[in-house]
This record gives sequence, structure tokens and C-alpha cells, in this order.
Amino acid sequence: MYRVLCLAGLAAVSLLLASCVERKISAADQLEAGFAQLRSTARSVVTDPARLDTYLEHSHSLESVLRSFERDATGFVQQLRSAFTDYDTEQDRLRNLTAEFRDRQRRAQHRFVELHLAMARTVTPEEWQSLSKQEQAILAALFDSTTEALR
Amino acid sequence: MNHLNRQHGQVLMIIFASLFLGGGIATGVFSSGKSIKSLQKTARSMTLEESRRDAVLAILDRWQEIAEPPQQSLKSHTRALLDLIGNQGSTQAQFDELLLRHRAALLEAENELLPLRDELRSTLDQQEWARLFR
Repeated sequence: MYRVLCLAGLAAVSLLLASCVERKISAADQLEAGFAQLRSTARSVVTDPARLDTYLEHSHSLESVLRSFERDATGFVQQLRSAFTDYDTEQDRLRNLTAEFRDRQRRAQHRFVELHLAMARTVTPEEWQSLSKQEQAILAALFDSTTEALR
Repeated sequence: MNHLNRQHGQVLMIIFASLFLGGGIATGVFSSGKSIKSLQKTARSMTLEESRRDAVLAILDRWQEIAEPPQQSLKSHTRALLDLIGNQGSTQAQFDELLLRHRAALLEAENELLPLRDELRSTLDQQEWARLFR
């Protein structure tokens, strides 16, 4: 029964994300849909209520880190594109812009990894098998979309 | 409106990947909003003396050569990152090492690309530059 739940959860998140990519739904919407499915699976497979609460709390924080970074990065992309294509922009201005972004990026990365590891510590190896695959599927879909968008 | 939504969606996707995978000068789309292929196409259609057009195309070719390796390593680093995420025993140090390595590759490329932008700028006047990036 446990295995069936895991496979069903993974299949659901994969189909959901594939349909998001197919319909060119924004990364933010993909993220929301993916995390909702991840939490739904967690409710099915994590049997201990205290551990489930902790896992759900961390997953909300993780989603929030990504959303917050998106707001930061949106501003950065606009600034960088505008500065880069402006004939009068000097090299130092571009260096400063990217250095500033990298600082924010480093902080977001650190927090992301911290929360991911906390989620990993909260669940048993058996529960992890199913949940980590869904987390991988959420990120893989986002990265695939991006690689395509950069071509 | 749909076109704007698609553009917004595409930007968001780029932004999200940039959380782990760098982003900055080394990814053409990210910095100018246009791919190198698209810039090359525009440059070929611009009214320029042959020598200047050749110079612009040579700069864009070099840009692609420099930006290509970090974009290729993006794929292997993505796989490595997803492997780390899938392994319950992964440590903060393993993540840090991978992210640091990728960031260093992007920074190295950026240090080579920024002078190229200056070179491109010195080859074109303000109007030609605007037409290239329009």
C-alpha cells in the first residue's frame, strides 16, 4: 500500500509538472503546484504527526525562500538587461550589479540547502524515497524549462 | 497579452534556475534579453561596412565560445545537484562545494565577457548598438 501511494504521488507530480511545462505555465505556478502535491504525499506517507508537522513547516519555508528570491531576482533581471543594453553603461556598473545579485543568491542558496537538509532529517529512509523523488521532479522540471528558455 | 504572459513566464523560469545555476553575464539571454544566435542574425542584416560587420560577428563568435562551457557545465551541475537532493545523507559541505564550483566557472566567464562587451561597443555607434539590441 505504501509503495502504491509513493508511486501514485510521484506519477501525479510528474504529470502535473509536465502539463505545466506543456502549457507554458509560469515557474511560480509550477512551484506552487509541485509543492502542494509534495505536501499531499507527505500527509499520506509520514505517519508520525509531529514529524509531519515539522516536514510541512520546512516545506512551506522552502517554497517561501524560492518565492522571495524570485522577487529579488525579477528586479535584478530588469536592471541587468537595461544596464547591459544601454550604450553608456560602463563595465564597473555591470560588475557591481552582478556582484550584488550573487550575494543575494548565495544567501538564498544557503537557506534553501539548510531547509532541504532539515526536511531530509525529519523523515525516515523509506519516507524519503518517495518525498525526495518528488522534490527532484519539481526542481528538474524548473531547470528543464530554464535550459530550454536559454537556448 | 498572451505574448506578455509567455514572456513573463519565461523570465520567471530563468530566474528560478538562477537560484542554483548562476545567471549573469555568461548567459546571453539573461543579460541582454536576446540569444547570441539572434544577435548574429540582426548583425548580419544591419547596414555596416564589411570590415565592421565582420568585427561584430567575430566578437559575437568569441562571446559564444566563452559562454558555452559554463552553459554546458550547467547540465552536469544540475544532474549533480539533483543527485545531492535525492540522497538523504548529503551534507551542507557537498552542496557548498558544488555551488561554489559552478559560481567560479560563471565568474571566470564573466571576467572574459565584460571586456568583449566594451569591444563590441567600440565597434558600433550608439544607434547601431540600439538596433542590435532592440
